[in-house]
Amino acid sequence: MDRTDSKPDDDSKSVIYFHRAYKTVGPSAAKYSLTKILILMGLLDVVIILFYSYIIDFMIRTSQTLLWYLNIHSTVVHWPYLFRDVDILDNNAPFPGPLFSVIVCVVSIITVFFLFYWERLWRPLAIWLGYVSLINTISAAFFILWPHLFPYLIVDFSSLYVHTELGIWIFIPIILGLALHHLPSNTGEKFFLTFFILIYSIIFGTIRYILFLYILYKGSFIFMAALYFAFGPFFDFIYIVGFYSIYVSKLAIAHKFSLVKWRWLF
Amino acid sequence: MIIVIVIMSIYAIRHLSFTMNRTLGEQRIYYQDILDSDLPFVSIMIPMHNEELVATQVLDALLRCDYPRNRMEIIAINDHSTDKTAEILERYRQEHPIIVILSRLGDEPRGKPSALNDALDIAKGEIIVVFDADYIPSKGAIRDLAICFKDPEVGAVMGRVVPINTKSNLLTRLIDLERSGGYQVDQQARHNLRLMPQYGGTVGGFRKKVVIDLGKFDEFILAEDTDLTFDLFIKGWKVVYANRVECYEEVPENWQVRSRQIKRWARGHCQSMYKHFFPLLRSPYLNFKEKFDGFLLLCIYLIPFILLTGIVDSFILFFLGEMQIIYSIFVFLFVAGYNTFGNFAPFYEIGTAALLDGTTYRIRILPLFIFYFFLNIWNINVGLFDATLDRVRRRRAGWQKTARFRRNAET
Repeated sequence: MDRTDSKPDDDSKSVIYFHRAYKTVGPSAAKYSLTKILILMGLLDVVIILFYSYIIDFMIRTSQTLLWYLNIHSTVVHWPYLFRDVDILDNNAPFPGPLFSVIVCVVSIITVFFLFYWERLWRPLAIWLGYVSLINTISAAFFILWPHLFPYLIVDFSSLYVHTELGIWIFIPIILGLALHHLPSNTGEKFFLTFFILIYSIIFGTIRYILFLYILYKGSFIFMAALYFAFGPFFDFIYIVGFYSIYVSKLAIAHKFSLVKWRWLF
Repeated sequence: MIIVIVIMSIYAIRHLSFTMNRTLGEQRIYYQDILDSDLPFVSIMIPMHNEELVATQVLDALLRCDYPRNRMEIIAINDHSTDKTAEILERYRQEHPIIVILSRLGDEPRGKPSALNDALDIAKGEIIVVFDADYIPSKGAIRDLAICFKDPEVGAVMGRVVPINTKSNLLTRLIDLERSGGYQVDQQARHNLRLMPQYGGTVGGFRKKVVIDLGKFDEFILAEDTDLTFDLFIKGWKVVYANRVECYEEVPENWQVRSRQIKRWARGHCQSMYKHFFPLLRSPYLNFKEKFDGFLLLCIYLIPFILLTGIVDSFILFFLGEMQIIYSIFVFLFVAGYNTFGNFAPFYEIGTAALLDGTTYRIRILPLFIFYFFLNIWNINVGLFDATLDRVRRRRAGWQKTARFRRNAET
């Protein structure tokens, strides 16, 4: 029999899979990738540090305008941070009265117990909501016992929030640079993803800032701790990891076959 | 707060280096290329307590294995079962002479470590391979696991665990991703870097004589696998990881069962931590790199406690009005998030593992790990607390069986 008689006419030879156990991206795919990406992300951080006052200014002006539409009249205050002053918003917010504090405390405690025993609720969500309720309980208890010792005004919270946001923007390129550099795609794509997440973070941070100030204005200082600890910086990881996961998923689809092609010896 | 951030950063660097090694570094292959006709006699142990839902499948899978029948025996340990497990085992024993039944009844203490200890007394093989009852080994698994013992330095081997019921619900999908990160990246990188791959108590094997010389399994410790790993390394033996040897397992399908499982693992691991902490640091057989990795591995269940401490610290500082310190909290939260989003494997490790595994759309549920993370903080802290009490009161922890979910099983 001639060899050509037995030669398969499909492309089966090029797609014989090898086992996933020792599959790698390989050093050639990521040659200088870490250096390149760290330089790019470093540059992004330099840009943020150089222009943060403009970014924060955009955030503050947008928030002030939108809050004005919600009948909350905020004033802009200059606040020193790092190399120059930044603008932050200040407005009035009600101090919780004893009755309101007791109601929040009791409702939060009941919620914690309810979540603990409500077995039909998705367990991780119950724990998360329990965590939020527990913070509210502690905060309410503080306002019942030592209301005069509460150390913050809205301007302090604004300052904390804005500075935290700046920290998040500086951290995003570092974290994503390290998490993405070894993946099998070009540096430009990774840079674009990081830049996109950064823009998303600025918009998300602005909307959240408005929402926080609105809740504090309507609800009082009692919710300040829950807002910061439950929906603050830790919450930012949801969208960072969310975009990362979508990107890796797209890479996995694109490379599903190309990565596993067996390299024939002849 | 600074100490917490430093510790979290060390773990972040550790996992990042594992991820880089697994994707970009040279892979240290396993021993599967060794050809040897003189295969060791292997005793396969399956501890079983009320396993009527899964018993037939593990036995069928083992009987299908390509290992020579005259070089293996299957020791099915009926550990105080009250369901139809005993009947199933008896039926299989009559049909297949290589199956040996060890019945543990009456006042004997129940639990995997004591069951394995009893089975060691009757095992004929010099190599012991262990499977939990809900596992379904691949056809070549026994040979692949046993062959590494041709290397005289190897004391134990661990294969890769792959969930079989991944598509059941969200929890099983999350566990599948977590397992992927833990084995495809973490264990393989530790194997590559000659650090401390972990023997996991199932889909793994060990030398019988070595374990007997070590005094068998400690019946006071719930995580007999972690205990054996550290015992072996401290005495100069190596544990190797066989990423090629895949075995399917059934993972918990509801959160209550998963929570109990995590608590048990945490308790057992922390019991091992108390036992091996100083012997590990003093061992003359380990180099600095191995000791450091062993130390981090041994203390890994302390991370949720450290995180909880950090969070509590943050609350206190917040209400004390320490705004300047509060500014640094986001650093803590970010390092914490970066490091532990996936609990046992950080998000970048899971993402990388899923990519290597060819997982496509499932990766997109990665952000949901944040809720899972809070659940595990709670469960692991409870486990740590229990382990501490076990240590202080010198009490024996009761063994808790993980519920099975398999449907359409022949019983």
